[in-house]
Amino acid sequence: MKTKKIRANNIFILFAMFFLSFLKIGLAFNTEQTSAFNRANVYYEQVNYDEAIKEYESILGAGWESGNLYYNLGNCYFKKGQLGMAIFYYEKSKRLIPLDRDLESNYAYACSLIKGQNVSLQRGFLSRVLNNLFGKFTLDGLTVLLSALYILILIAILTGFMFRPFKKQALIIAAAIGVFFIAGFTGLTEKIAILNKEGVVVVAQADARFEPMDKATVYFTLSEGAKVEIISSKDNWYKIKRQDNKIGWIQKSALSIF
Amino acid sequence: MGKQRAQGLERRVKMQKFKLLSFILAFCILPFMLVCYASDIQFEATVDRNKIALGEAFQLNLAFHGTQNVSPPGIDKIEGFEMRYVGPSTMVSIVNGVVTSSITHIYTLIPLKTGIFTIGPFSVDMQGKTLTSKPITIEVVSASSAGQSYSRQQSLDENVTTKINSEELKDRIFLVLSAAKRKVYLNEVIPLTIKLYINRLSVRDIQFPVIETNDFSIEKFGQPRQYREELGGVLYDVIEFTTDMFAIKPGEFSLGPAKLKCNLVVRRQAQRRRTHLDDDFFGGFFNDDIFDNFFGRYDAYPLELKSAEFPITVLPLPEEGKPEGFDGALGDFQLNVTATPLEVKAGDPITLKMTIRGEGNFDSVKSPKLQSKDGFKVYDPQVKQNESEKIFEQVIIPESEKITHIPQISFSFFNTESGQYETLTHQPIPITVFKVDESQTKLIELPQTQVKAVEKEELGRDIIYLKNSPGQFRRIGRYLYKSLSFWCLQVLSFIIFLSVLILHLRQQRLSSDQRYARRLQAPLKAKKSLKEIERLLREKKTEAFFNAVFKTIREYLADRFHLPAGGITADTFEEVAKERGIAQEALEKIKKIFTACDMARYAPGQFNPKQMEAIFQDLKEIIVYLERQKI
Repeated sequence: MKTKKIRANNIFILFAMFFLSFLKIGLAFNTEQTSAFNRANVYYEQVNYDEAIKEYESILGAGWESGNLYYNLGNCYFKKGQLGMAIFYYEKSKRLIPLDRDLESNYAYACSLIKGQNVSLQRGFLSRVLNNLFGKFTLDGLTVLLSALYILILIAILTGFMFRPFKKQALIIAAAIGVFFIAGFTGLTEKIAILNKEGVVVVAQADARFEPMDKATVYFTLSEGAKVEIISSKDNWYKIKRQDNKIGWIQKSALSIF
Repeated sequence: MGKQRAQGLERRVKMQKFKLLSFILAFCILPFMLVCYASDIQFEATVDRNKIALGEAFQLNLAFHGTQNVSPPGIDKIEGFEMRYVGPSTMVSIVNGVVTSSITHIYTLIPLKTGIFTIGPFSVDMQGKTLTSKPITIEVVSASSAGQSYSRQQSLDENVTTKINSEELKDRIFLVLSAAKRKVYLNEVIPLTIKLYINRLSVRDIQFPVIETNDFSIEKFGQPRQYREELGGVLYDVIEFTTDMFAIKPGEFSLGPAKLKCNLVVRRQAQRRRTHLDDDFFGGFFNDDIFDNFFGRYDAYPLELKSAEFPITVLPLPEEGKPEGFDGALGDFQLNVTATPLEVKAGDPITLKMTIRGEGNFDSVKSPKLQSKDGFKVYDPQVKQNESEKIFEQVIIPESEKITHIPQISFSFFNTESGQYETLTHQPIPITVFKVDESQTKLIELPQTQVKAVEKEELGRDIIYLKNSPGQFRRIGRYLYKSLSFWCLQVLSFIIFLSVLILHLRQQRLSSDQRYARRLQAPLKAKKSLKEIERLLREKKTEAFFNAVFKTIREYLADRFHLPAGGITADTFEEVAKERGIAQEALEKIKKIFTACDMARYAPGQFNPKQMEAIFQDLKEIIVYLERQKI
């Protein structure tokens, strides 16, 4: 009897913690940041993009971010003519508001303005499926989804044990959810893996060399806005991988990492 | 004679009144008159009758059309006539905004002797030009030979309803039928004219003329034309009916007679006895035309007029020189052919527009012919007929890309003017036929409206405007997967899961496995009993104490080892203990307790509290030992 009481308490504490953790993330009132954001919007309307950027970045400096903030920053840089920075911020925004139609449109338009290269990424079947399934999720969204799937699996198993006649069905459901869970987990780990491991070229042209040295031979050239994957870094150089899997060394100043 | 003179007098009075009226009118109109040029002016001399009895007066009118600014021309005395100038009569008419004016100088002539006279020609000098009229022939007969006219006059006076003298009427109203030609070809269209001549008669309800014939096809008459025509010096009002006709069969025919029905309006005069008064005052007044116009009554007298017959010879088309492909077209035509488009794919339609223009019987015109139809799919032409042209629109479809020309097109007709056959040909039209792609052969020709491509819209492109709200702010780099509470939650949910599962499984075992259930319950029950025993020990209830101890050890052992409780004694348990490998020391203690219980049953007084305490401790130890031991 005593153990049951303890369990009830545990459940209550658990839910309280669960909700608190979300409250902590979700319901933050940032009056200071909001007013800075609005100021920046006014600057933008006055075609004063530099001031607008300054205001927006002050919010980032205070340690806060939002999808809309990155989106507006992207717009500012786009209007300023800095395509690389615009794409950089759109990419950052995509991590937070991947379903936003305006963002999608602006991102596609900005990408269409990238000069020269049109290197498309050759991806495997599984990778493509995963990307289609989980590409539209934010990192947190996917985490919550996985958590929900996990709890669902547990519930399914419990149901299977408690109601013996439905044991088979319940276990099948649990297994199916389990497949989703594994896929989602793979997606999540991938997402986490590329955090701060992607970069956008923010200078007009960046040469990727065979070695992390100024005098090394140029392997290929990237134009502003091109997206690369960071493999490692050394001193002032990033070892990057282009979308067609060509690897080269590029100067850190030429890239913005997100 | 006396009566005639009286008539002349009447007329004179009438004329004088008329003259007065004319002067007033002229005076009013004069300021508005325009300067006219001689070139616009026409001069015309007419009489109201050209057959007159001696002593009867008739009227000579000298009319100037196109001006009113003409003074009476000085006319020399005409031989055989007594002439008097009556006065001018002016007229202005505005038709469709065009003003025409005319002046007529009226003279009264009275013949002095019988015979045939020629009046005129009269010449007038106008602004340096000489205008000359036609001469007029007048026949003057003696009074007796003009008696008909006289008697008619009498009869008019005597009867209430006027009887019309048909002889005189013949000259005053008659119908003339005429066709453009007397010799026509079969099916040749010729104009037909019927003219109704009316001289100084009032006619109304004129119906369209009718010609009864089985040999000609006559179309409906159009709206009649009305004009004035001079015929033998007499001015007639003419109503002209025209239409087209053509002969149906060859041979010699006489067309007509044309018949026309109308109503002649005749003044009915009151029968009144002519008194003396009539002549000088009342008669002169009451018999006045104007007066009669107001008070006289009119009768409609139905009249059917017949024209003379018109002989026509209808010739058949000559067999000689008849070209091939002649379809009976008659007239004089031109052929014009256009084809669109000139560049097509095989299987696409080309529209041939063949226009036949000219004069003739369009009913007899049939579609021109293609010389050959090889390689084409030819559809029936669509025909459109206008007034002076007939259009044939024919769709032809080239069936292969080898075709380079639309074949020659020919049209034959019989020229009725020259009496010859003629053939019009249009040279082959070069066309380009492309080969059809296999994939396109199944395409269906759509109406043009559907084919019309939608013009591609040019859209502007730029980024979409800013977001107005900052959205959800969050700490940079803080992700849910990094949050400790999130992971705690996951672990906790697993713990919950496990505990629920274990609880469930255990309960399931308890309900299904009696040995397990007894084994689980044994220490719990023993614990409870031990508390009871401890209480009895403190209260020093020796008998109850030993009872409880015996019961407890027996039940515990039975539950613990899943044995029937009643059968447990020190001896029986020894066997079980040996099987389960229970330590000798514990067994000794159990035996000791059983023995003590047996002894106490018979002599409870021999145990002191110290011994009881020791037994209680032994019992506790046994239970603890057996619980610890995995047996």
